[in-house]
Amino acid sequence: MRRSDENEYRDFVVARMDRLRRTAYLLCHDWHTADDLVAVTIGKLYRNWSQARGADHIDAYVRTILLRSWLDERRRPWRREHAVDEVPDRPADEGPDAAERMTLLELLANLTPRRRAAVVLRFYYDLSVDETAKTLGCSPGTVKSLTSRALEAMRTRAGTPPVFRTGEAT
Amino acid sequence: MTTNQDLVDGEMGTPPPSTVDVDAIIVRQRRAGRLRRAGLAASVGAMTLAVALVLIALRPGGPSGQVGGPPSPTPSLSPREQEAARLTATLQQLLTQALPGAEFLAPGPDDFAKTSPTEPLVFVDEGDYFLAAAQIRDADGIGAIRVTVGKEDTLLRREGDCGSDPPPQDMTIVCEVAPLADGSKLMTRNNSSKYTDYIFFGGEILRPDGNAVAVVIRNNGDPNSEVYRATPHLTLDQTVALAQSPELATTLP
Repeated sequence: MRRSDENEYRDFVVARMDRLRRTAYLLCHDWHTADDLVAVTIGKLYRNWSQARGADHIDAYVRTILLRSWLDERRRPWRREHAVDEVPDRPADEGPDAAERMTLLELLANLTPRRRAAVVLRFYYDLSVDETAKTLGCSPGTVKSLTSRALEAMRTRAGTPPVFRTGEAT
Repeated sequence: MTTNQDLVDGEMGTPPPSTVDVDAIIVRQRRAGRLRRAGLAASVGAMTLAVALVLIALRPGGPSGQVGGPPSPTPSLSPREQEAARLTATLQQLLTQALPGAEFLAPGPDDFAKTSPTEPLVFVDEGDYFLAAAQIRDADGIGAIRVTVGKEDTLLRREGDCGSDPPPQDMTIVCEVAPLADGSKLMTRNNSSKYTDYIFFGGEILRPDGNAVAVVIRNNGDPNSEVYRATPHLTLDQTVALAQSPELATTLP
């Protein structure tokens, strides 16, 4: 890559770093893993920079790399498991005040990876069903199904409907 | 108007300082690019040499019919290249025997490797270790295998144990590390997703000289794909036995 392209790449990545990290955190729920995921994403972006800068929507291009890298990472055999003395406490499933203690992030954390990815794209990025399907590499019907089941799971867990605003019926 | 993004960002709060070093990533990618180009050049060179040797052999009279003349040039391979070739032949033989009738296809990209293997079951040199991979297809579906030999930075080498599933803890992990009589450590791993049918078996042996063999086999071909097969192509015992095969060990420093 030429120096001028590299500078352009660096400027782009630095400008998007906060949004990329936040998105990665929504998926991973762990800042260290999120930073690892962002590092992998921008590494891939570097390798494909000439193609990326020619894309119609470069942010969508990067978002796709990030989402797919994360789904890859969930399936990697030797993903970065780390030894801990004790498994961290998870929110209790039952109890009269469970719903009040559930935050949006916790509700998201309890979704399966693909459902979580669909919710993040549909509601955090406000993408349409078709745009989400393109990013995840699946059909619009699958996105509708993933989103619907995700919202249902969140609803059941929280005891109340999620507070996401829906711009489009799922 | 408050958007969903504002709402979630507000709940997330201020992120901790980033550990992502963009300049270090650029340097790493530059180096990887150089390695890829060097690898390509070496492949083209080897291919040219192979074609030349075949042409010589096919000439009327062939090399055996020639009298006198200079001996054919033999490619001088480095010890690591020779080892990669030996490991490739060994792995192909072991897997062909274990999975008769299975087809080995080009593996998907390995983003954590410096050089992703592109040929099925052909070891590439990653510097500290050799890496080979393939998608495996048979009548029951597609799976995948990944084998490393040498000094890959695996969990067993780094931590000496099985570790635990990081958040969001979506895998069920059955794993144990056992010491062997010769001082080696053997990891046996059976991971399965709590939410999908995804399964992988792992076997890794870390020998006293620091060299390891790690074999992972899973029941899907491409990491982006859905699960295509009920179980991986090898059983857990077969996977561990493959990792322990003496022929797959290396003694390179």
